[in-house]
Amino acid sequence: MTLQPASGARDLNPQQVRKNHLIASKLSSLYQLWGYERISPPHIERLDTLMAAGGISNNEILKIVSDEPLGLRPEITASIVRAASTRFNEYERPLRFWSTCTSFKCNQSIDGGIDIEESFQSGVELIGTKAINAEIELLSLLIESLKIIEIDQEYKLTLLIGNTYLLELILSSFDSTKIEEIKNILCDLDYIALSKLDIKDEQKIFINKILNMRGKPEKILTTLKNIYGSNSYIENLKELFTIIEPLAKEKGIEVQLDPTLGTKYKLYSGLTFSLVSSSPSAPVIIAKGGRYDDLVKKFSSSDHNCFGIGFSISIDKIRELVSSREEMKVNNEKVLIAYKQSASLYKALKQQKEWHNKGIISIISHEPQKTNDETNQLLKSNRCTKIEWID
Amino acid sequence: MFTVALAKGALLKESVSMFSNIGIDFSAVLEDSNRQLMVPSACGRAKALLVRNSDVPVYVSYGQAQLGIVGFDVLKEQKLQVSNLVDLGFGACHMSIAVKSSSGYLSASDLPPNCRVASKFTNCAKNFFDQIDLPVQLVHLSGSVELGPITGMAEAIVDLVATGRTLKDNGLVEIEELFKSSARLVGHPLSLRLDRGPLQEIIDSIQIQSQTNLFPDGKK
Repeated sequence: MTLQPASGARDLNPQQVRKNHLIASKLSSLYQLWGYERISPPHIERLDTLMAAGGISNNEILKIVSDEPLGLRPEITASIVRAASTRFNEYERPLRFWSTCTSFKCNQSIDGGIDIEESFQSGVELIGTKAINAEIELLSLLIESLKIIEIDQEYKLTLLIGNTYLLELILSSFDSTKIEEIKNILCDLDYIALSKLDIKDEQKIFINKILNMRGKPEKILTTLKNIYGSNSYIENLKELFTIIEPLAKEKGIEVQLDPTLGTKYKLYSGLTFSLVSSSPSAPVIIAKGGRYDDLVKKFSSSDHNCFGIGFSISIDKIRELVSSREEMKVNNEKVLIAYKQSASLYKALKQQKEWHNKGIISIISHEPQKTNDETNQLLKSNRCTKIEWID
Repeated sequence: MFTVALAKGALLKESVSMFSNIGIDFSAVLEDSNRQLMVPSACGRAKALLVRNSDVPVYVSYGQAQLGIVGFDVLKEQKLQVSNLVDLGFGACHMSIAVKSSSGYLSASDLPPNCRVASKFTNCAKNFFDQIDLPVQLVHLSGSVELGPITGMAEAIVDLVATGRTLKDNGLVEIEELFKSSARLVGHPLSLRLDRGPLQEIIDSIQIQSQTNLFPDGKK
């Protein structure tokens, strides 16, 4: 009998769970202050929903053996949009929802099998607003979330922002038969494929320029404007950065515009973003999101108010970047109540309640303690900070 | 400081030479006395991770190394998320199907359906046979795959061929080439997106260097 959990499934220890809970509860308090309401969609959904109308590949979904095609959710947005388009269809827009959830993804392993990736996330969805103000609200909330989580200052944070329409604008100047290939080159940063692409040399030079185009938003937007002239995508991004950049700067987050920033999921139509943290060994994406109007449209019965934008924060990844100081502060006292005679158990229970009333963790020894060594050993094994003896 | 994953074995010497030409000296990794797996460059700007060939894309895709040098064959076999930056030109070889010279098979389509094919590169082999709609039974071997047909365990092998001498010495003959391979400079996509210049400078220098090596007379 194999007693190990399935490969990739999380099996957390108490300390990890405490940290997860601490981060999730801080985030949920913040979301509520911003007027978001909690919803809790099911872990299991129909495959049609989970595939987000073609935005997510069938291979990435962990299937359930059943009479109808079901799977475990690989992310939360599709489920929330499904709920917004059905149960909450009559509700006044915009809808502001938040959720804390576990999701399951299937990754292809090197040996051809599958690796399950279970992750714990917290995020928000803002459905039914087209205005750029919705994007500004979401990014402001994301920046505020990072502040409240208190990621260690040693980790540098960068907010990478892209836009699928900008990418489409760039691609629009190429032959339609080459667009998919060029898109892959730009999103995968594949310089070798570019060198082998059957297009004119000046087009290669131009694509190479786009491949290296990322950095300070103002500079990149000016370059794009010089190439493509003024248009609504560029103007909207300019407006967005005017507000978001100073907010991010206040929190020590660097903002970078990256026109070729792609996301693994083809969910997004418009703004996309990834928040990256430097970590001790390698950069890691701790939050990501974007606008998914097309998904809302595909799930809706009418074309009215089909707009949506959201983000999810990976609590599992953030856990390793958050200092344990606060957790230590909360859990620094733990009392072991010990007694020498069984008859004292009732008194011990009463005393334990006294500690609990003060909000302090206390546990009772299950056996009368005969020697000090034995009691000290018990103190240590239960990670208690002090002993209280009951006569 | 940036980190480069270098493959031990056939590509190491030329990888070190490539970096040396752009002013980053990893020659310490070539010394017989070296037992270190993480070696700083003489200038202190970079460090090299000495890893197995197949582990280079792994270190790069996880971001522990921002750059790596590895054969295209390994990249094609593993399909990990790395950015393909420069075709370095050295380490040239090709992936081929080979059979016993006495087998009478002249092309891959001559192989009988559901025959056994031994390979270290089972993903590449599977892709190829899927493309030609020939069902085969793939047998994964870690090395000395030429023994597959010799012992009768497999009808054919899919393996890398450099000079063809090993095949010839073992009585095997190539019947089809799957693709050509050479050493590639690869990068961690997220690190490249976060880079503010230093990594790109290295990549550009290597690009120029590799062009010089490929076309020493300046012709392209």
